[in-house]
Order: sequence, then C-alpha cells, then structure tokens
Amino acid sequence: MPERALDEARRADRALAKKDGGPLTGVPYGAKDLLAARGAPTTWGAPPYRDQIFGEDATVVAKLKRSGAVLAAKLAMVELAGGGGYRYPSASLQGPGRNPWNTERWSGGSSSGSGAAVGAGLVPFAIGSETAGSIGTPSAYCGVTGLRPTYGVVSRKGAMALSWTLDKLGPMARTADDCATVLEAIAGADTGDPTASGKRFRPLSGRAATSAAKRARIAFAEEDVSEHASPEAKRALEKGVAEFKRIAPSFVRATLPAMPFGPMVQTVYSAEGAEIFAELIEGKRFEQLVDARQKAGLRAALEIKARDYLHAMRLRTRLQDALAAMFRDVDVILSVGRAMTATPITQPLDNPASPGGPKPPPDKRNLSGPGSGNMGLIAAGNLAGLPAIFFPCGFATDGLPVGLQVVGPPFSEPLLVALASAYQRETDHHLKRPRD
Amino acid sequence: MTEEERNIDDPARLADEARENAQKAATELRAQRVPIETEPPTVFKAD
Repeated sequence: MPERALDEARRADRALAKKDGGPLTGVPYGAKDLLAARGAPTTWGAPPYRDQIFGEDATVVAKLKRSGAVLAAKLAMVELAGGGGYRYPSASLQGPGRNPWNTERWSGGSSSGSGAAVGAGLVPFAIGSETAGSIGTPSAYCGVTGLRPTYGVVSRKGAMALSWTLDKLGPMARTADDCATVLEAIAGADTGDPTASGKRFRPLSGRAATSAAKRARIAFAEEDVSEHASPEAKRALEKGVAEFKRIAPSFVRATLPAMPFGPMVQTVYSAEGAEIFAELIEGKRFEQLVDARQKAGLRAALEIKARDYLHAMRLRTRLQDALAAMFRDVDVILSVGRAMTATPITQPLDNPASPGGPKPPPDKRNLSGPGSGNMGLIAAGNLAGLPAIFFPCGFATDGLPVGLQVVGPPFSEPLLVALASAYQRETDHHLKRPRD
Repeated sequence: MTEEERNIDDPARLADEARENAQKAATELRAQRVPIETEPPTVFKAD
C-alpha cells in the first residue's frame, strides 16, 4: 500500500507540473476494505479473508486512479458489511470503529472506517458502500457528508457483494460539493457490471442549483424529530430542519406508504447474502467470524424460502410505484440521518431480550405505519434504489454530531447535491472538527 | 435455566432467535397482498 500511494502521488506531481491535473489529482482518499485494490489486502473486514489479495482494481478504484486521486488507505468495516445482522460494533477483523468525536462511541457501520477517517480529517474523502444504511449511519454518527447514489449509477465490479439488488457504492466527504466531485469521477457505465445504469453524473451549475433548491418541494413529517429523536439529539435536529427550511422553504407534509420495510430489506439482503456466502457458511472458516449473532443470522438465512424472497422483491416493485407517485407531488423527502447519536462501542445494537438490556434505539422502534412518519426512509430508499445525501446539522447535548438526509427519485443526485450544498453555504456544521 | 437467564450471546439461543426473526419477517411479508401481475423490479437504466 505505501508504495502504491507514493507511486500514485508521484504520478500526480508530474501531472500537476504539466498543469494537466483535474480536481482530484493528488488528493488522497481511503477505500472501504470491500473494494479490491491490486496487490493490497482486501479483507472484507472478516477474519476468514484476512489474507485475501486481488490482482486488479475495482472499477471505482481504477476510475479514481485515472482521475489522479491517491489511494492512501484501505478502511476498516464491519465483517461482510454486516450480512446476517451483527450485535456488537466489534463485529470486525479490525475491531470496533471508534468515533473521532468520542472514541468510546461507535463510528457506525458498516462503512465504519470511511466515516471515522473522514470525520477525523485523516483523508478528505472515502468510498463507502450501502446495502441498507451503511453510508448513512457512519455519516450521521461521524459528522460527515455521505452520498448514496441511485442503484446502478456506480459500478460495483471488484466490490464484495452482500446483496446484488441492494448494494451501492458512494463517496463520503466533508461537503456535498466534494461528494459531487468524487461521484462525477466514479459514476458511469461499466461492461464489468451488468447492473450499471450507464448514467453519468453532472452537478447543476451555480445558478441552476440555487434556483432548484429554492423551488424544491420538500416532503417532511414533523414526528421524525418530535416523536422519534432521542432527547440528546432532538434540539439540534429541530434547529437543522429550521435551517434547511430557510434554504428550501416549500415544505409539505408527506409520508412513505405503509409497508413492512424492515422485513422486506431483511429478507432480501439475508437471502442474497446467504447465497453469496454459502460456501463460507458451510465451511470450516465460518467460525472465524467475530460476531456470534451474525453467524446465527447467516446460517438461518440459508433457510429463507424462495417464495418469501420473491414476495419481498415483488413488494419492492409496489414500493417503487408508490414512491414514484409520491414524487409527482414532491421533489425530495427530508428526514433525520439517524434519530440518535452514536452508541457506546460496547452496547449491543439490537434489542436483546435480557433483563436490564438496553432499550431499542428510537429510530428502530417503528419503521412503518401510524406515527412512524418517514422513519423507514433508509430502508425504503434502499429497497427502491433511490439516491440520498446525508449531511451534518449540528451537535447533540452529548457533544456528538447529528445530521439530516434528503432522498429523491432515481437519478436526482444533482438536486440532492444542490440542496445540501446550499445548506452548507449557509451553515458551518460541516466545518467543525474533533479536537486531537 | 430460564430463557431470561441464558446468556444473550449463547449460540443455541442466537440460532433460535435468528430462525424466529426470519419466520416473523416471512409472516409479515405474506400478510401483504401483491396483485398477481406484479413482477420483481428491474434495474434502472439511463433514458
């Protein structure tokens, strides 16, 4: 890795000397350790793959290399991107992702290192992946900006697969504009990924972006904050929503359709993940995985019935139709990034039925139905393949960052970036850094 | 030993819980009717 980084840096120096560099020339970055980088270990965060090395770069890594960016680090992640469902933040070959704002708190998962490294200022941007919240959660917990592209906008060739129909790769950076610069470099067609949409990304020009942000119709459900935010996070989230309303004032009340988002996303990624890792699950190395709950979840997922997987998939079509109808009346949906701040690194992430066990996180209590507002947005957005941008909006009373998310219809990344960029021009939350 | 007294990370308990979770998800999914003409989604392609 160090030799590779130095080589890429020297190449960038030469390009800059000839004045033919681009916006990413010489910029160091980190890649979540599920992306293949020729000659470097690619562990997928999992002990069974601790010595795995690939002979070629993932398409994203190759595109960034062509753009002049310097791969400076492979970044820690939850083992197998959390497939099977893990209980503890320590579910990783590299140990728990520590939050740069408080190292006794978790950095979120499964792109734990991507969020932590950008939040700590170790790299100006990183590549993360999201199947069902793995860019959004570390972005919110670490106070960084994360962009989850529309499914298929970024090639996944050379990336570990957890769920063929849900996985997305995207940038995590300090600002929405930085995310846009990275997305422009990595988006586009790839014959190596049959699910690549072929769609390029171009941000809106300054005037068009300002105009689009002002005109955007924003769907919002007040209960996302008033009813679901943790006591620590509530005030900062309220303030963040009020700030957002100043840059995009056309708020309307609109909520997601009532559908079982949790069971849908769980069934899809569990069934696909179990098939992808069936050989591992049924082999001797499986016991090397760290998290006992995750192992139980992966084993159980092998038994998911085809009818249930397909039923979940057909419900996804219904969800896409319902969201398409919703987006005829609104342009984007605004909600909390997470309704709570980062949890302690020793705290179970689920709700084990044990006496004295922790209460479930507020934003996991109710994802759909009466009173749930748009708390199911991460699950619903991923199921429908929609793009999202996550950005910091302040600090909770426990000193940890909180953030918002904006989700739009397929290929609406230019509008999402315009909205978050406008917000960041009027606020300074994204400029705050943890102390050494 | 009662259920509550078993360690929350006991592998046998975790296996039971994982199966129960999958079954619970399946039950919730099957409660949602889907019109017969509904097919699984296809990949978004550029216009």
